[in-house]
Amino acid sequence: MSKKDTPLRIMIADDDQGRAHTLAGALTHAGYQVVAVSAGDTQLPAVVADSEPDLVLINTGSPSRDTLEQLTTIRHQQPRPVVMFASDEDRETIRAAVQAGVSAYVTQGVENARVTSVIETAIAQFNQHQCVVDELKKTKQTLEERKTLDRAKGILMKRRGCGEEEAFKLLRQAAMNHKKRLGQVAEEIVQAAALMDAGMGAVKGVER
Amino acid sequence: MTGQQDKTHPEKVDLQIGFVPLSDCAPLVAAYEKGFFESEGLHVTLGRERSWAAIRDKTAFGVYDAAQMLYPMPLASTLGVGGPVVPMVSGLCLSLGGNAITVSEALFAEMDAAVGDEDLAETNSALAVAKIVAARREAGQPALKFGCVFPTSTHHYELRHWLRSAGVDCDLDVELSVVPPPDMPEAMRSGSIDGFCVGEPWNSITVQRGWGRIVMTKHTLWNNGPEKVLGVTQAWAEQHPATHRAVLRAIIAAAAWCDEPANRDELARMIAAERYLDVPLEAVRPSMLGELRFTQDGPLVEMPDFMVFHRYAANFPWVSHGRWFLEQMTAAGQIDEADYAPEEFDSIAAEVLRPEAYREASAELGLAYPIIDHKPEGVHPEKWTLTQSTRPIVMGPDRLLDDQTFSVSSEPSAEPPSEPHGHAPAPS
Repeated sequence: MSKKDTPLRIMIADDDQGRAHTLAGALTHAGYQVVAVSAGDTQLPAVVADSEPDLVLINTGSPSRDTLEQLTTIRHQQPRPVVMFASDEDRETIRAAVQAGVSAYVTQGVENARVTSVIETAIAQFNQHQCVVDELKKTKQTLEERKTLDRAKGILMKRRGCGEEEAFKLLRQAAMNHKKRLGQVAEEIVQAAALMDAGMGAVKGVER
Repeated sequence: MTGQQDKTHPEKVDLQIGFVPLSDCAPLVAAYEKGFFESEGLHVTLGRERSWAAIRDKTAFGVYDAAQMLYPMPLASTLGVGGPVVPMVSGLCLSLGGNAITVSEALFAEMDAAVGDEDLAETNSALAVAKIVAARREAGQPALKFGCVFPTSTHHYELRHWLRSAGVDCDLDVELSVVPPPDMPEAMRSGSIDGFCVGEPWNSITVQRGWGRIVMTKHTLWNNGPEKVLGVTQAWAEQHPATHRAVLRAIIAAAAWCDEPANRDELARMIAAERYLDVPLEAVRPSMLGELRFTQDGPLVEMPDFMVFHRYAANFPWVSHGRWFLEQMTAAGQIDEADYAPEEFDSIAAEVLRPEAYREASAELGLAYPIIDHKPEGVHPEKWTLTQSTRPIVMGPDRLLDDQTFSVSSEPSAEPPSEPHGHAPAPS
């Protein structure tokens, strides 16, 4: 039996319901059949069983994905969606999807080629809806901490006339001795230096 | 600023490493917060993930250079169990133990009644469940439902191990499903599952809320059984050998720091923070200090080996542990013997677990390391000394539930102690 002519049955699971519905609208407009839109929770396997999708689109970072994964290892499970991956020609598409934060589970028997354009639509939607704010914030936080660490090293190098390695060792030793995070020690040194320089009127002590 | 012995320049110093908010992500957090990564010249950003599948896929596609993984994950990924085939390797075990099985108050009451005059304890807990399973089947009542965190998780196999010990067939007698760790307490409270196996702090949180009781610890199922690993793709490891070693050195040193009892309180505070576990300190602190409360009003039970980060050669990636998990996957019906025969397991495990990478990193740190790749399990009820190592290493007990044993198939056993090997001792 050929399912080639029937529209793909698509299920969307996303805790961002606004994004899910926008995507559902875009896919419906493109002629696909959206059979279920779920917020994504532990009931996901039941929704899959009821709506029998050819393809499930889900937020990559959603904990519900692991709930969905259980379907992939149960032999008698029907339909049995498996995370879409890596034949060489669509490797870049899937990589872009993972980076945009959308993952696709394809029911066995459905050819990857048929779903590529669906995934491209999903990538576009996910890239517009920046839901990766949390991750960006964390990366920024890490960068800030590294900057502070460099400043603290610079302060120590200047005041103690030592090299970078020695300055790092001093910071690290302080973190160990005082049961503090390295970032915390660095922050305190930068603050203390700013305070002392302001107090002494030598405001140019700390660069940047 | 690389380690003193090693002047090899890391191929890449800006790294993204993924973790899941569980107590045993501690070595990665400590490696960042206490400067172990920086002292290897590595600038690491830790990425928090709430899905193991996301950890797997982001590592597979290079979004992450490396990640905290369930012990069976690199094996599953290499064989394509439950997902695509992406060869992965691990040169480091992050932790031993740390999991427990918790049941709802209602199931606990049934179990307590099932054992009659006996006290319900870890040792007879599976038997109690077996009686309830039989009674429910007899009465035509629905099967008990248990949750685990991922299909190819240590937790899944631990649930099976526990129930099998009392003759319960996990495929026929109970319903197993996957529930994300933070959802476990609520799933139990709402009655959608009767019990679960999960890592800390989710057992303690359930107990503290009065929603369930711990009836079995991973430690009792398998003393010092391995839990999480650091996983990277095989391709990444081949492209970044010096960076891989630097990452291993940083994490081994951090794991040693984590294992010091004097540092555990600080460690608990560190990981409870908003950017890591984001839970109250009291949720992570007791088990981190080696104490566990099985019931809400019960005493704190001392379990110093509940979660181990470094001692007992904990970080060594034993190839025999790889075979153990391949056997568990087969028993769970995830590996078909027609695809991979048990005789191949040692060689598959040796492709994935990389003791040599660990040895190089350890030698550069001046630490002792095992010179064998396999060790038997279930043969040491007490601490023992591994002599097939660059220097003798004190090892923890490795007893299995019901005194089962697991033998090494292709190498002489670690017992009895052999003559000193020709291997060069680690630099001191």
